[in-house]
Amino acid sequence: MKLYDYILDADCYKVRLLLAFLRVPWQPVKLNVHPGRDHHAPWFRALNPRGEIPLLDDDGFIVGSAEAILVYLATRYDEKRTWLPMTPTSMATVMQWLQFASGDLAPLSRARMRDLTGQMLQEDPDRAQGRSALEILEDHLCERELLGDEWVAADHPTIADVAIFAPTALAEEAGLSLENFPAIWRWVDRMRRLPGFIVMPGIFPVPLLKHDIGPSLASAILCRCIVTNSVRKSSAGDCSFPGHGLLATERVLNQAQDDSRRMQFSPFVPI
Amino acid sequence: MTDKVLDPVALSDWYVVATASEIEPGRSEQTRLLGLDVVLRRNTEGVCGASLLAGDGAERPMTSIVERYGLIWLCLGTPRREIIAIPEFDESQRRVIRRGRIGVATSGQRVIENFVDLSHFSFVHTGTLGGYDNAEVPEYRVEFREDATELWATECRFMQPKASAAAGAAEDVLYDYRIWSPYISVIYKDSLVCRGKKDLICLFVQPLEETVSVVHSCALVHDETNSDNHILHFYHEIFAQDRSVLIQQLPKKLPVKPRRDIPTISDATSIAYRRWLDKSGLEFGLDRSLP
Repeated sequence: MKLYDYILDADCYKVRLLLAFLRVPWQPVKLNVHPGRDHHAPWFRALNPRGEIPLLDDDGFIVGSAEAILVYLATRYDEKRTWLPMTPTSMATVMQWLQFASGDLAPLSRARMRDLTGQMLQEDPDRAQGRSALEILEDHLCERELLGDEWVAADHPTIADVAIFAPTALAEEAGLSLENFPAIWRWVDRMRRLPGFIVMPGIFPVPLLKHDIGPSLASAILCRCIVTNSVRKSSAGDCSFPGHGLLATERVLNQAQDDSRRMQFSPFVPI
Repeated sequence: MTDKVLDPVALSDWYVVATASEIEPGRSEQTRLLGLDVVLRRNTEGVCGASLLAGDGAERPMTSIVERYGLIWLCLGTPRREIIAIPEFDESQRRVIRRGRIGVATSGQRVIENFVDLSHFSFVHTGTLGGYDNAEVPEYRVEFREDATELWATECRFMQPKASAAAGAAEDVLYDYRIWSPYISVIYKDSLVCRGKKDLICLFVQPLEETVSVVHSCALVHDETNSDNHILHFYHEIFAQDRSVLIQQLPKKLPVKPRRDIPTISDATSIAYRRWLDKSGLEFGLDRSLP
């Protein structure tokens, strides 16, 4: 199986992420999307006239558009049929949220790519549209939690979660802060803890420290380390030896608290 | 912003504003530098010129524009020195991978400071340039060269799981960092393919505004096995990881006064860079407030 892929593309990440969850082996065909615009080259247009990535080639069957690829992979390779449940109501619900991912959240990805490739606009209209979409998602996830469900379209993760996760978790990169979206934070954290989860640039893994010092402390320290770009051996090292460096740990925590904006990296930490 | 543009230190230096091949004969491109609008225009003979665009649309031609290393260099004032010498661009044994423009909503000085920092490798580039198990930064040297116009950090050593696209196994890699200007830095890094040779990673920041930057960069690497696109993805992944951290750093302008930072020994380069910027008289992109 080949995936025409670009490392910084959120839609390609949707496919890579599901492939990882399903543990399906695949090979990338790496395109120079930026700065080379390979996806508009004649050879690629011959494969996909829309000139868009991702594009999947599974033993000669070629399909484009991230959401269509997710549907194909889930139907073809998920024997338990949980990623795309097949009852009429659950399937329709998943499809509805796939549409949300490819439509309502698309402005977020556009704004992100403009910023990333140095074409930033002062007032990007896509950013405002992206914020409205996040508000819809926040309300939806909040409601789901009140009903006792933790996922977008079912009582377990589906391809709707995968499709929505990529642009949402990368919202910071589009210049949109997730500070005021606590239900989204919690859901992002649940996603990151699913078996097989992989990252892409802009998305950090759940912190792993040698000793279990509790998720809040660990992530507070690591996120502090990451955002200040200044973890020293001391801060990371101290916290893995409880009792040895509590003062340092406390100092790190205090700094993290002072800088609540930076705390958005560890949404699951209510300090 | 107008005050900052009169910043004589910023005006008398060279900046990369485009990749030469971006602008074809007969075509023009508008960009920004130091908060000013600039038009780059290549005539049908292939010569690229630049002019400053005034608010009323009038163009003032600029004379200090040079094409070198496949890049377009511009100085908006009177250049106080020659463009950085990187003779490795003319040597044939390395592949030149051009990473294109990457936008970062922060000051160029933040970008350079991150570039020369070793201690973030393990936490931001986990699995490539560093890992949790080898997070300690061994001591290195910091020195000024060329009459203190250049800042160097040498003998930097770091255990890297995958130091380049061509790297096969984890290795202790030796680095030299050269900071040529507040916005330009070059890494000279052990090649894992050609022993005894160096790979270069060049970072040329184009400050659009004080806290909005475009980063042009090139990797000059020994690599006979990987495709250009494979190497490009390797570097795009790394820089995008840096970017996701950089856009979170506050204040966006780099603080340069003593006691605005609480450094440790591994910050030696960063601290030397901040104090060097402070002494340089530069205003653009810097936070000069006292603690």
